[in-house]
Amino acid sequence: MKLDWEYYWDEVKKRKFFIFGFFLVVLLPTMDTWIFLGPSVRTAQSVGIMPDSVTTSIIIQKAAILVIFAVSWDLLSGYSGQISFGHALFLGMGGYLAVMIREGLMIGDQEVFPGMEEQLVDIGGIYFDLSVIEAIILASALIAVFALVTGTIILRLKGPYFALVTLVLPLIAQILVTKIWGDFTGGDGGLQITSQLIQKPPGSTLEGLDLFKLQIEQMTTVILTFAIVCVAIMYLLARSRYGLVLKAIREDEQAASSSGINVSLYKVSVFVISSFFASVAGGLLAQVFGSSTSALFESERSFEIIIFSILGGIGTILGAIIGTFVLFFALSYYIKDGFVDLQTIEVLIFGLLLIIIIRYQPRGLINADPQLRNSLFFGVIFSFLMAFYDTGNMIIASTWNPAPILQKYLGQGERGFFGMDLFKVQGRMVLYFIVGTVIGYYGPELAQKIRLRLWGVWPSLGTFDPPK
Amino acid sequence: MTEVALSVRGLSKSFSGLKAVNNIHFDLKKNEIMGLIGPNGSGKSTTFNTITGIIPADSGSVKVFGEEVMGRPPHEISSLGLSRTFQNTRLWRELTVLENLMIPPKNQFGTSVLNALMPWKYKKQEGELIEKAYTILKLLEIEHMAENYASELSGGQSKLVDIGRLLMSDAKILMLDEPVAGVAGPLTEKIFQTLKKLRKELGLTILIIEHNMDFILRKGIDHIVVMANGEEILNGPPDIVRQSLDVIDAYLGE
Ligand SMILES: Nc1ncnc2c1ncn2[C@@H]1O[C@H](COP(=O)(O)OP(=O)(O)OP(=O)(O)O)[C@@H](O)[C@H]1O
Ligand SMILES: [Mg+2]
Repeated sequence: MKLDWEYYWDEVKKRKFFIFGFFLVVLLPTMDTWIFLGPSVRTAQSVGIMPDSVTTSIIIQKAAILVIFAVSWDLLSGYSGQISFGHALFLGMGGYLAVMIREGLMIGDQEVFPGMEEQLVDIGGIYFDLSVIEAIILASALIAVFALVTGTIILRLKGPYFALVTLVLPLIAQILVTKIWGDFTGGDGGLQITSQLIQKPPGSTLEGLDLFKLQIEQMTTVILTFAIVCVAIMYLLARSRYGLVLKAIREDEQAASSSGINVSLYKVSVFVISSFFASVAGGLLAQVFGSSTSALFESERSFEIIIFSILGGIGTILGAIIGTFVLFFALSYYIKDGFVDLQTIEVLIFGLLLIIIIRYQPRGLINADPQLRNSLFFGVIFSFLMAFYDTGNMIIASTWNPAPILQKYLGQGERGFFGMDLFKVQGRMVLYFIVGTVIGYYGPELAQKIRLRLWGVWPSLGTFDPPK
Repeated sequence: MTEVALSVRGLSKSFSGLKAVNNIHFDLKKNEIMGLIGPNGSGKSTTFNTITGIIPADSGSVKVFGEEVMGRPPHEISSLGLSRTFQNTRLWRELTVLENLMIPPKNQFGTSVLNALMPWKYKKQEGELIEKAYTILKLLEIEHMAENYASELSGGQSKLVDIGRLLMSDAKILMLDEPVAGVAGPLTEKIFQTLKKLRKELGLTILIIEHNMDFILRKGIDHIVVMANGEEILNGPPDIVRQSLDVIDAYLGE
């Protein structure tokens, strides 16, 4: 058989985005099963350079919180066009205020207010302190009121002036909490959290690491629930007339006001809503970190989500979600935690990606070539499955555990169902990357096609038809 | 006596010394179609901008259905039932044509934050508005572009969408700034017929800026104001304006 290399190369080129997405999120986790790399990857995991299940859970927690944060930014800046470079202002305020409200506030020996009573509840096997959540929501509501006042003033500023003010505000806040109000904000050390969100279930015999793992998993459940609710609310807003009006304001303010739209009312309202959800994200982030520190106000926090949203596709909500998950989840999996001492490399890589995207996909991944989009959606789904598999019963603790089910039906490899396979079907060589071992067990071509269609990747994967 | 829909008294606006609009007076009676004509830079668009609140006027008085609107923000003036187009069409470019038409209608449930969370509350109203939008698009012969982004339209098509946007707004007074510049002849005719028809059916009052005087004199307009160098040089029915054409020529002849 004579090989037509040009044809093969074309086939590869046609699928280039798919292969890119594949490498980005799917191939890397399976490296420990590779023949040459495997042993070193396994060693890396055992000594903590590559993440294990607890790390994965924490990454998911942070990613979910950042999704809330990024979506709130996208609603304000992507939709209404009021570009904020300092959204971390609300993140930090949310973090500090939620902790203060929950734990009470002392200035010197003087008690300003006592804090909230512990309120332990048990929902679906998760034993948690409801007052922490109440404090987060109350704090966010107060910050929304603050945003109403500041927004009324600063939203009068146009474009770059507004952006400049938002850039400065978190810097001022940072100085206030570390230097000027240090007495009750804890200065550089920040406010420590003493009342944990997730409590030890009564009568539980778990101890040490097992208890810790359980609590981490339950924390993930709570945070994901928060993320889903918050994002759903903002998504509904964005998809309604309300969101459409915001877009009209972004596109042409004067035309909007000539059409009877009260531009400043809409701007202030979206500012308030956005600040509310950003504060919720701040409150949750403080819970994950175990304290509220001035790091919450860092410009890096603001820029991070701007980059995520731009990469995903600004002004689409979905873009912010995808961007945050793909980048934060996938990249912190491999880069940040891979090079613990080189955290700045994350910023470097995001920056480079941003330049590439702005050059080649200015409207974000969400508006990108369908192949690239598919492969990334697909990659995100797989990242999730990967997480399920890695942490076992992570999300819905004892009721539904997808990992064994998936293994049962999708075949078992050393790492579950990921892998590559090269095999023969009806006299043709077929190379299947993604669901390798799974597909390998399906003989008839039709079944493969159906399965691939179900995954939604048929167009980009396809069968490999060598020329006769 | 017929009711006055729009009354302008002593309207003036200068841009750093240049008197763009200088002491303009006119009354637009209800159900009337009025033309505002004049050469380039004579202050027609600025008159529109000051009436609608886009640019604050220096002095004068503007009353919409008897209500003083000077100094009020554009959206409040618009909510009194006055809608306008801009000369250089200002569509919302990243919105589709259909979405562009969906913004102007007043009292939409879905525009409030609380209702926005309950899609079932506004779906029915939205459906009706979409139907209305398609009727208008069909009338303007651009319904095939409904799902396209406004940024993908040609200049003439943009003009049409802009008019469509106006027709969606339920306004009682329509102010059109050169609505048919760049629109093909037969369609121009159709747009004028439609405007006249709507005026009868819905009791609309219409103010049109037109560059081409011959053109507007042929369109059966009730009342014409001629501007030059920011001043109002003629104000009357078309016949009188036609008779004074020589005068205008003399005035603008340089
Ligand atoms: N925003 C502005 N700033 C400064 N000068 C302006 C502004 N808008 C208009 N002008 C000036 O005011 C004068 C009148 O302009 P206007 O746009 O009202 O004319 P027009 O009658 O609409 O002309 P055309 O037929 O060309 O549209 C012009 O000399 C113009 O330069
Ligand atoms: Mg003009």
